Amino acid sequence: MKKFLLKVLLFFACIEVMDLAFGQFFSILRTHAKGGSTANCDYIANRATDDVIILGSSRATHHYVPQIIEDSLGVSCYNCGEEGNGVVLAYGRLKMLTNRYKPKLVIYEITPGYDYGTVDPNNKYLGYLRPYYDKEGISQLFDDFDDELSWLKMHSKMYQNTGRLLPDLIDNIIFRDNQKGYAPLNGVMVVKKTTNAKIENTFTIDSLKLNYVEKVIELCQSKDIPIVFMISPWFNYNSGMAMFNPAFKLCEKYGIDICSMIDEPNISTHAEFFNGANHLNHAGAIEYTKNIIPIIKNNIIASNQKNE
Amino acid sequence: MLFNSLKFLLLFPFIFGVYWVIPAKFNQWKKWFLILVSYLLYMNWKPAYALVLLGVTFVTYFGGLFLELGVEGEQLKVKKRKRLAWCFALLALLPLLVFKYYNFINNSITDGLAAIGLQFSLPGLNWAVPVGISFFSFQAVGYMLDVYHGRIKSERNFTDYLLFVSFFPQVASGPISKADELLPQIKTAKTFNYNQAVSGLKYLLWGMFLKVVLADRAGIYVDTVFASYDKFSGAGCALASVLYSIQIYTDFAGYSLMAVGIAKTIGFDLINNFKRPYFATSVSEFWKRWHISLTRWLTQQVYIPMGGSRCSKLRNYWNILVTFLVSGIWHGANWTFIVWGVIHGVFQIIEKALGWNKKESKGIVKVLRIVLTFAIVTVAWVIFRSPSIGDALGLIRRYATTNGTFIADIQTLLHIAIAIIPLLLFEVGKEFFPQFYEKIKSYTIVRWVVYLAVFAMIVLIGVHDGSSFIYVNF
Repeated sequence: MKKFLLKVLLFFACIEVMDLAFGQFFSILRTHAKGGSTANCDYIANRATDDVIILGSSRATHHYVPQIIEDSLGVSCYNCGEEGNGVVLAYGRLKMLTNRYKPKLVIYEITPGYDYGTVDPNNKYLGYLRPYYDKEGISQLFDDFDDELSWLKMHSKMYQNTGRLLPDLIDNIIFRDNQKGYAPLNGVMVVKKTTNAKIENTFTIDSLKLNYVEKVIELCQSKDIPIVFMISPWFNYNSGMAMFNPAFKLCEKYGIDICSMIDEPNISTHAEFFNGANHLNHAGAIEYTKNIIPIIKNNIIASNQKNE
Repeated sequence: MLFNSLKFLLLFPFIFGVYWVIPAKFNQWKKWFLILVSYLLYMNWKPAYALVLLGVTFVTYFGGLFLELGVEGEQLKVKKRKRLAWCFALLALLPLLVFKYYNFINNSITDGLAAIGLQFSLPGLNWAVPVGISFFSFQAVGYMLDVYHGRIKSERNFTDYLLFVSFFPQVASGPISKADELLPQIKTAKTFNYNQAVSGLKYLLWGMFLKVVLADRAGIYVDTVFASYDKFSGAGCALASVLYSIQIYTDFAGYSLMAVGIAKTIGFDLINNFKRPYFATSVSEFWKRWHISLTRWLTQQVYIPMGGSRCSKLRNYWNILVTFLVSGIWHGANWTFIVWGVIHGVFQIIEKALGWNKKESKGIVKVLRIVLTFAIVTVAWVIFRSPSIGDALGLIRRYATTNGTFIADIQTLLHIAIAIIPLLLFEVGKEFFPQFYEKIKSYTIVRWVVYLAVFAMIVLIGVHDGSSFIYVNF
């Protein structure tokens, strides 16, 4: 038994050494990434100091073109939206950004399912935050959204980087342009009979996630950062605004702007601007971003006046 | 509680420690400790279902005692004994029939009557199926039928029998042990065996790798394609089908290896359920390598009592078909499982009729036979995996098309490609180069590098959502 226990201990000692080595290795991979999601995440977590920050799901990352905002308003802008994610990642990213500096404006693209609905298991949204678990305020998200043993798992540097080996390696070898977080979609949607069907409100409210939307607002307000909620266009949207009600109520409660462009006729009725019913393609994103420049401008002016 | 959950992995050293701290001379305490652990872990799923486990244990225990009367004292007449055996078997299988098949039978009858214009329906059951019910029911009924056929003596010690049915490493997903294998081990006072424990940890590590790294990664890819196969090209659907073959093998073999490994660390040897099944050269051989404990159960309790191969050719073919029909039904209450079972039965009948099941091949012919068998098994898995026969046929029809997406998710596919290398090296080495494999294994440094690499892969590219095992649902 003694020999057995000693060998088990030796095995775990080797793992501990390996864990530390992998931690260093991943740290190097992240800081040396040429582009792609690795460089994108590292930039947001450690280096971004941009004036305008965009948060949200795929509808954020595909719909807001930072270059247009920068060229039009002379401010820097970064799109921190992420495919298949919502408030969990958005709050984590905002926390890391605001720990470092004070953006002039935060634009939050609301996607009900990801922001306060029960779409996927909530720990799925923690993937991009795992490598940054040690940063201030991030572990709270794991306490709230992961299982009760996450604190133990997150002690392992290897576990903090689970699933990251391939993307991190690829991003160190191949340059994949981030376009300041904007991911353009190519192609035009094919309009089918079902495209215009009403969207059923199938999700139920996840109160914990909704609470985090509130925390996003509170975090911005506590640091005097203006935040505006946006709802970008949806193709031929005809399903009413019921599923956006929780967001409207929160905005009313905290006195912040919510701007719905979901059925903006100049865009939402034009199939050529869409890649799918709820995703604009590159042409649509350009058109939409140009449309919202006055809103961004007004909010920045208001922010500057407040600061003066 | 699933073996791939962190909770179990944290709990296991405690179970291991307490078990070995109890001195061997207090074997009864060791047994009660294992019974307690087994029931507590089982109740972790749904406490009330422990009553089902206990009920099946009682029925088969007393069934065994009653049925033995006929063998030992000739007190029961043959017909009466047979009727009694049927009664006890049905009683023991009743929870399985109700929980697993009631809704299926009810829906099938309702649909059948509706097809001829009759409206009739009974209320459906909205209860979850108790975990591992097919496994522990078959193990317990197998014991009872072994007693009935006079293969073994009935077990008089209820404590031993209680542990035999509920033994935690195997209760949720097998392997289905035979009483003459496990009961003697339960009765033996155990002292710690270093080699057995080390071997157990190796099984545990490798099983975890198969489940977390390969099965769960492949599962992500397969779920995407099977959910919307009409968007994928023939090659894309074929790739997903192959990945499902890999998923179901690594999922089930992963669980079985973990069960065998955990049992070894506490001094028990369970049957290994798999012997590199995808290197089989015929469907008949596949079943000698896949889910070996179930094949053995079906052979002894269904195939042989029906006459096995010691009868006319036609009767023999019928026996094969019925045996695999039972295998299909055992897997689940859906026509897909039944058709899957029938396909396996039909191919074995064809092989037997042509004499392929006994034909040895070498070289390229062997390779071709392996590929052909894998293709048949893979297509059958598509039916097994699909929610309905219509969906299965829809996906299989897509094989002939060229339009649509080929690869669903390149990153997941690359992860699978990396993870499959150790599996291929291990399986090919053991199957085709056993001497070389043993020689490589004899170097301590190689073994340790492999252990650490496998562990690193589990953490770095595994899926850590504690997902369930496919066979736990059966």
